[in-house]
Amino acid sequence: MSFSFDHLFQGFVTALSLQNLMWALIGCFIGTLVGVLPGIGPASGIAILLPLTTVLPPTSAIIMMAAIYYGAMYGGSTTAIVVNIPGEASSVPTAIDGYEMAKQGRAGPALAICAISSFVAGTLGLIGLTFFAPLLADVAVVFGPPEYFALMFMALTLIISLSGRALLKGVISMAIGLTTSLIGQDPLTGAARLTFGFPQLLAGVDFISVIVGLFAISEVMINVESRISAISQKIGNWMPTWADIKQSFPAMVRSSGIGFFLGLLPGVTPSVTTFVAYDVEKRMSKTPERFGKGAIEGVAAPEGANNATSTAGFVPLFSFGIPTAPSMAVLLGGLMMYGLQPGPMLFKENPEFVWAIIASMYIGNIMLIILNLPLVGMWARICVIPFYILGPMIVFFSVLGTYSVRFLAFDVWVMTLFGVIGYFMRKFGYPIAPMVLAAVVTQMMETSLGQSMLMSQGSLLILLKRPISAVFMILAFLSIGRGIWIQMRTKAPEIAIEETD
Amino acid sequence: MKTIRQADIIVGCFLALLGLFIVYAASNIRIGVERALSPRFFPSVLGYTILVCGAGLALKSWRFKGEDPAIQWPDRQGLRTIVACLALLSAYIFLMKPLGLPIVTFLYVTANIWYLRPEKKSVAILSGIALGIISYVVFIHYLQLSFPVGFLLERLGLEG
Amino acid sequence: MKKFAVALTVSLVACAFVLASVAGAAEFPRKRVTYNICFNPGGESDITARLQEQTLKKYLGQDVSIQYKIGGGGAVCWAELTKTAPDGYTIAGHNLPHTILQPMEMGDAGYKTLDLKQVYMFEITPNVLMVRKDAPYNTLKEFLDYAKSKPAGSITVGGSATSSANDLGVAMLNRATGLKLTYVPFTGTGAAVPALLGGHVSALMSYSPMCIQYKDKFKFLGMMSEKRMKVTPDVPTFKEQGYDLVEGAYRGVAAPPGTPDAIVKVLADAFDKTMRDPEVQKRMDQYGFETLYMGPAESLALVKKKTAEYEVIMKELNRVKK
Repeated sequence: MSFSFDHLFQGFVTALSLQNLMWALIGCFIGTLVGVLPGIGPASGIAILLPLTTVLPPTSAIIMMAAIYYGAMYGGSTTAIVVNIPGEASSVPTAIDGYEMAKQGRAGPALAICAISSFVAGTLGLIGLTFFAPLLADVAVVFGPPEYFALMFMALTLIISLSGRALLKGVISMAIGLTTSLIGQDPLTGAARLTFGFPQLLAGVDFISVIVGLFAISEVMINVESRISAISQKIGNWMPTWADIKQSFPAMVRSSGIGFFLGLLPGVTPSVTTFVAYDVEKRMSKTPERFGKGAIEGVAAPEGANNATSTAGFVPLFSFGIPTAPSMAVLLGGLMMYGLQPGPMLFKENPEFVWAIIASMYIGNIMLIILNLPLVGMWARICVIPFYILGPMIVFFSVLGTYSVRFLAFDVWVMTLFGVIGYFMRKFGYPIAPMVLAAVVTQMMETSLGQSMLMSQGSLLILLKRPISAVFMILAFLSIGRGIWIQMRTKAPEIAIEETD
Repeated sequence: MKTIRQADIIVGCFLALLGLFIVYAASNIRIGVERALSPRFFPSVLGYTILVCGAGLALKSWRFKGEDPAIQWPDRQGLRTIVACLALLSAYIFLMKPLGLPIVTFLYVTANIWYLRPEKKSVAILSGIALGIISYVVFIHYLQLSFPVGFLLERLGLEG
Repeated sequence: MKKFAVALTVSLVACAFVLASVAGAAEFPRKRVTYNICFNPGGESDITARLQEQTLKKYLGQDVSIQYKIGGGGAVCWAELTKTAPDGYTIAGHNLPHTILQPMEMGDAGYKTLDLKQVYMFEITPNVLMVRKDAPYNTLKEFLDYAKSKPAGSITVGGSATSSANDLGVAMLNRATGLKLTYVPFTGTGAAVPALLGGHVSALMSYSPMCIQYKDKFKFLGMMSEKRMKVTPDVPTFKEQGYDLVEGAYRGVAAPPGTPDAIVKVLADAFDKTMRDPEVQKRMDQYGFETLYMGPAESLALVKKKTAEYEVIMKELNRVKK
């Protein structure tokens, strides 16, 4: 896939036809909805809608599916900010500062910055995709199993900054998250692990149930016990000030870069890159103590990263036919329904199709910001809905979302259990974000370590022999060392996650 | 468990035991074929991590002397509300298969709103009906997801 | 009173189930059929189901809803299927050798091979050994000679999952040549591709659709089939290169144990018509799937034949649960 203005121009002509515009708009709208609903992610959203799109011509159908994917990245942050319930795992870091802002009556500006950051990152990512795809494609395959392990290992050390002074509690939260996702059959070998003799546990614990339980259900419990009538009575100003934009703009650009480059790697989903972007922003900041207390950069960074990541995923998809995320795999599978050959050949043989989709993504990003900014006021009003109505509604959508992943009632019970666990974690001051991060990266970490050891015939030194993985490993160990040092130095109790070093 | 320090000591000890249990459970994983990375490796490492951190937390809190914040436990009525809401949620999941999603959704939403705000009965019933209908029309009928329809609706011939 | 209410509810529910299943047998199908896919979207099972979907609807006269139940290399989905009401309204994609090897290797996989009621076996994708386009070897023999010249175990071959046709294929090749190629499992066919593109493994053992999808990126050294596939005439078989190795993944559909034969027949007929539909046929060829037309009896015979075959190989490899 190489760039030519002719192709791009043709793409815009196709994408701007009335019919394709309409499907892009519908896709953006459904995507926003999919993002908002807890449990229902873009992958299941696209898979569910796939059979309904068979009436459309292929280009329109894929334009709509792609719009659902990046539209979900806009929507996921809404409930994270307004009611502290991330719609997707990738919005977990957004909730940290976003919900604090909402509590201060600044839900409007937070939502608006999210939309703007998504737009900036989405557009920057698209420019990368349009002009540099052939150059960038090689990045996607530079990473082998050792590099993936090292990257994921480094990502885990982010818990040090996610847990602030409560480092021991952060590590415990992480270890429990990791252990939970090991339950069931090993994805590669099928060996039954940690099932304690319960056959139901063979199916494993789906991490969506864990996330929805930890956030949605425990949030409802916290709110009903204090009989609050609504989450916030204050709405305040809807629009962000210039100062807000100026403050968060560098974060938008940085997170676009981070999200984009990590997003080129197959398997590195937005759920990982948003954590990394949040961490980097916190470290770069001159006032890291504001993070966790409503720092606007803490909202802009993850939102930028997830949009850039979702756009970057199209680079290996278009160049090699490799899907980087489950949603991409569904999209690729969808192509076959239309008689298109997935894999690198498609994009060689049908360039007009590929370019129409890229062009439609520019248009979709503009649509999403137009769609989202005026809606900020409406979304912000969710938090003034009386909680006795909002609470049961949240539970309803949580049950629906969790159940629809695999249609196992077991998953819904797991969600309930993690609701209770999340409740106690909040009461005892354990950070929840590390558990989510751990649940997301475990499988890839273990798989890639196993593969690395096969490649090296059992030697762990392979992780230090290959330059890229060596860099990640060294960074990870430095980070751990620093965390331990800070831990030894402070004498404060393991209490609050808000108070950071 | 009135304060964070007390909670940390108790939970820390519990976690240490949990870690021990995970280490034990990991040692029982069947290895089968010899592999480069034993399927026991990750679970054991994590078990030890939880064991050490749990014990460390308990010890650290034991030795800690200073300002010890209290945990914000709910009052008696708050506790009752939480238990009731969890019981309703359990009933919701439990009855989903026999009653079907639309009916059980109606019952759950109505009952929960009713319980939380008894003076708003009409709101409760209307919300229940609305979500019940949404669950049927959107998720079962239109999106064709295999949620249980329930025998009552099946008898009525509403099967998706 | 309480006891009475419980008893009443229980008996009502039981009646409803009985009524539903009796009514179901009379004229099947009366409602939507759920077709569960046990692997990730975008994989071979999903792709085949998507190819069948529209045509299958036509011949079944009812909607078909494709849903995913992923986990444990398919075991979650199959274990769940054995606990599903045997009314024919829920079927699942099923794969050989997975459904034979999982219970064999693990002892308890949550289901037994013969629990799955065979409906129809519709495709086979033979194993194919491939290397990167710029690799210094062009034929199977050159590759094997190269491997011989290197220390044992240092040549890695990627593939999809453990105890899969890919895994067995490498084990069989090792046994036939006396080499020690190291098999590196990935979480799916697609996940292994970047590893070969990036040169992290020396070769891939994967399935026939790759010969078409990646024809300008990879070289295909040999296919483990009886004869060359007509859509990939340039890919030689292992047999013609002197190694009598035939292995691949079979895909079909299965119903819950105890599904009445009359219902299975309706489903099998619909699948048969679907697979013989010219449009479906064209797509299957286009993507490199070899179509099979095996009804319930033939599929069962295949499962039994393969079970006996795998038992020998697995014992030799010392991989049977003791």
